[in-house]
Amino acid sequence: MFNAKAKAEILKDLIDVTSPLVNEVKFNVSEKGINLRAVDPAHVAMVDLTIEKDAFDEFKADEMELGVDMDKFAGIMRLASSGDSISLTYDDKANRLVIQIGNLVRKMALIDTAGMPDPKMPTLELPGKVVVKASELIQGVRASEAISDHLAISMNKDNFELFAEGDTDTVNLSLSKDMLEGLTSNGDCKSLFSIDYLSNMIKPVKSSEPLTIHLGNDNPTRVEFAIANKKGHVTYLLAPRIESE
Amino acid sequence: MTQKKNVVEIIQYPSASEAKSFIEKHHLKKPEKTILQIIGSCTVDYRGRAKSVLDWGERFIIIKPDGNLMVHQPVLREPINWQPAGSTTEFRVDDELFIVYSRHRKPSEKMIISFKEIFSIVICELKDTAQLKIVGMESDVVNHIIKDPSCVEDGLRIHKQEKQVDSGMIDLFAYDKSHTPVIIEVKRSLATISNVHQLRMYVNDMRHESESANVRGILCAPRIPDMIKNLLLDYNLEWKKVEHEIVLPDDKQKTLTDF
Repeated sequence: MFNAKAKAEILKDLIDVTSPLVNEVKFNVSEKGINLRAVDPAHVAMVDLTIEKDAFDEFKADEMELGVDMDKFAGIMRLASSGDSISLTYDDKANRLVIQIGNLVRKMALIDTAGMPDPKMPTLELPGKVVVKASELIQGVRASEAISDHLAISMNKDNFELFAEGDTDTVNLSLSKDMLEGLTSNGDCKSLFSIDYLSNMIKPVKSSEPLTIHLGNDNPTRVEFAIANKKGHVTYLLAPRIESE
Repeated sequence: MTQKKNVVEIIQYPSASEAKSFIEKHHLKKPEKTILQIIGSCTVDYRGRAKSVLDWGERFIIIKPDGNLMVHQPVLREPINWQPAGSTTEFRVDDELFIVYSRHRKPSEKMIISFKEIFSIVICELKDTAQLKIVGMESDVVNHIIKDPSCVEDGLRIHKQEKQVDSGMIDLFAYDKSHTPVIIEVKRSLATISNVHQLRMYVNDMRHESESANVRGILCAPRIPDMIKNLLLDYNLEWKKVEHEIVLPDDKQKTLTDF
């Protein structure tokens, strides 16, 4: 059994986080809420997303897996305006998700979850950790987007920095410890990342929310932030690019 | 990056005769190497497989070294009119008008573009041998199998790509190691019920055609749900999970599996 009711924004958050990476997702539903984990086909980025039961206005569920075509789901959710209350019910006879938006009932066929991967999250020792206001990172990534396809994120015990270099232009965002909500770093950390992936990652982030970035040297970054009115959590892993010779 | 010099020649607002001598100087000496763009106000008359007349308008003409000619209006992706590869182009001045006359034999097609005003002519020599690389297409999976038929089955020999039968086009036609004909249907993503029926029809067609009762059908896709597998079993068909290669943006991008 799965029966839930939520504001459209909650479901749109889920779609915004997931759909840039994958077309098909397995929702792991339990009495605690919804969890999903997805890796993009090139294995460059992974997202682990949890929306707690409390984020929903109503939530009743047994443990089950729902295979969702994200393009289709996103298309359906575009029919909803923000503030709309959306009801989701699983129809186990037809293996469909019944989505009710106002007076509209849309039944969406689900995908067979057999054979859908359960990606493992790699264990990473990342010595640097910074808590930064999302708006700062969003601004930095937006600025870098215009001049390059990759940027460097670095930190030491006093400072967090984002740097991008194009053919003629550069972007630099430097935040000292007192401008940050938190910074711990054993020594210097620096890794390069693709801006395409970063900009997809920050799209669903609310600009006032804090964002936690874990960083190493030429290692993946782990970025964590809250969604669904802080009743949801996203962990995003992004593999680095290798420093050019 | 160092910019190579003298690759582009530009003239703005030439008269008809200035346009003609500019094109003679920079394009007609080596039309097989230079791309010519003319922007201006013109009419286009076409006689060939059909007849068409395009009244005065401001548009963009591109003539490529292979003879392709395209007339582009300010909007739309496709040209409003064009001449195929192998066309030859002449340039004339008639009264105050500058005339571009493009001709193609077999089928015979003529196009006359008359400019009353030219805003700009750009002539450039471009080097580009790169080919578009698209991933995630069905053909990626097909090519993957052609390159390495053993990913479907040991001893498989691909005989033909795209073989026509009554009910459609077979993706790959092969023989297995005991010389039994094998029909391979390829999907780039999730296999569906209609793929099963498609394969079933191909196999039936092939059995009639070759009068051999023994024809195998294999559905190849990156993901095949259990329901589809059961359906395939019902029809005595087979399946094989075949993934297409995922290409990273470039070799500097690492993947999470590296860690």
